[in-house]
Amino acid sequence: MIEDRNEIASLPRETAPPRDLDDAIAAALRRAGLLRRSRAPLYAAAAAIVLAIGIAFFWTHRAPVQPNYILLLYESPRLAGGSRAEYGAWAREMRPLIVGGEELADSTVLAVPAQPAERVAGYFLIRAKDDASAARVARACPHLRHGGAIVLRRIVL
Amino acid sequence: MDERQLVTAFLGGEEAAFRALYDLHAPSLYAFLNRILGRWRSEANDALQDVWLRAARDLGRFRFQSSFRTWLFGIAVNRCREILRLTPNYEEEIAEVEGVTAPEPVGERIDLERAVARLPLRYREVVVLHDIYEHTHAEIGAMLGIDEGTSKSNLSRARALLRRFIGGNHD
Repeated sequence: MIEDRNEIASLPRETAPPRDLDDAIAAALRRAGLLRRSRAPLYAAAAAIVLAIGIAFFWTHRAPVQPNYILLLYESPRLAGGSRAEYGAWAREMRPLIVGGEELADSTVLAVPAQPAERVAGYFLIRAKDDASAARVARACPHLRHGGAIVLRRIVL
Repeated sequence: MDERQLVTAFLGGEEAAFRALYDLHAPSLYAFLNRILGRWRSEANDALQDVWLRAARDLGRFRFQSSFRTWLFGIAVNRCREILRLTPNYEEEIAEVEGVTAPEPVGERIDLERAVARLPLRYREVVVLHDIYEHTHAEIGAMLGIDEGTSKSNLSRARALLRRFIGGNHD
C-alpha cells in the first residue's frame, strides 16, 4: 500500500547514463564556448570533427523515429543572417517533433536537365501527428525570419 | 574541492570541474528525466545534455540560495515540461519509444514504476521530487511554480492515485 513515502522511496534514485554521454555533453559545452578543452590533442581533434557535423549533431543520441514530413528550406534573394547554431538550437527546442535535418553544400553535384530557379539550402525531418501540427513547427522555423522560403511536404510511408 | 568550489570552477569553464559535477549529479538527473518523461524517455539523453548546457549558460545567475542539485533539478523539470508540451496525445509514437532506455525495475517495483508513469504530470512531478529525491515542498513549489499547499495536495492526490492503480492491478 502507498501509505507514505516509504514504498515510493524504495524506487531507484539513480540510473547510470550511457557511457559516452558525458563526452558528448562536454563536447557540446565546448562548442557553445562554455568549457575549456582539458584533454589530449587527440580529443581536441575528435571535438573538431563533431563541430564539422554541424546541425546534424542534435539528434545523435535519439532513438530512430520514422519522419512523416520534410521541411525544405529554400535559398531566396532576401535570405540574410542566421547561423547553424541558431537553426540547431531551434531544432533542439522542437524535439521530439524534429527528428533530423541537414544543411546542403553550396555546390551542386548534378542538375538535370538544368538547375531549378530556387535552390534547396537544407531540410528538417519532422514526425508529427497531422498537417496542422507539422505546419506549426514549420512556421516557427528561423529560416522564415531571415527571409528564406520554406516548403512542407508529407513523406509517403 | 567542495561542491561550491567545483561550481565556481565550472563557471570558469574548467572541464575537470564539469566532469566531477556530472559524476555527482548525472545519475540522479538521468533517473529523474526517465521517470518524468515516461513514454517519452527516449528523449532523456538529449534532455540531460540540455540540462547541462542551460546550467552552464545560466550558472552566473546561480547564487547558492538552493543547493546546486536542487537548481539542476529545476532546470530538468522545465526541460521535461517543454518536451512533453510538444507531444500532446501523440499515441502513434508512443509505441515506437516505449521501453527505450527505461530504468529497469525488478520484481514488485514493476507495478509501482508503471503506476508512477501513469500519473498525470503535475502529480508525477511532485511525488517523484518529494518521495524519491526528498525535496521539500518549498523547494518543489519554487521548481514547479506552485505554492507549498498545492505541492502538498498534489502529493496527497498522487499517493491516492498510486494506491488505486496498484490496487487495480491486483484485482
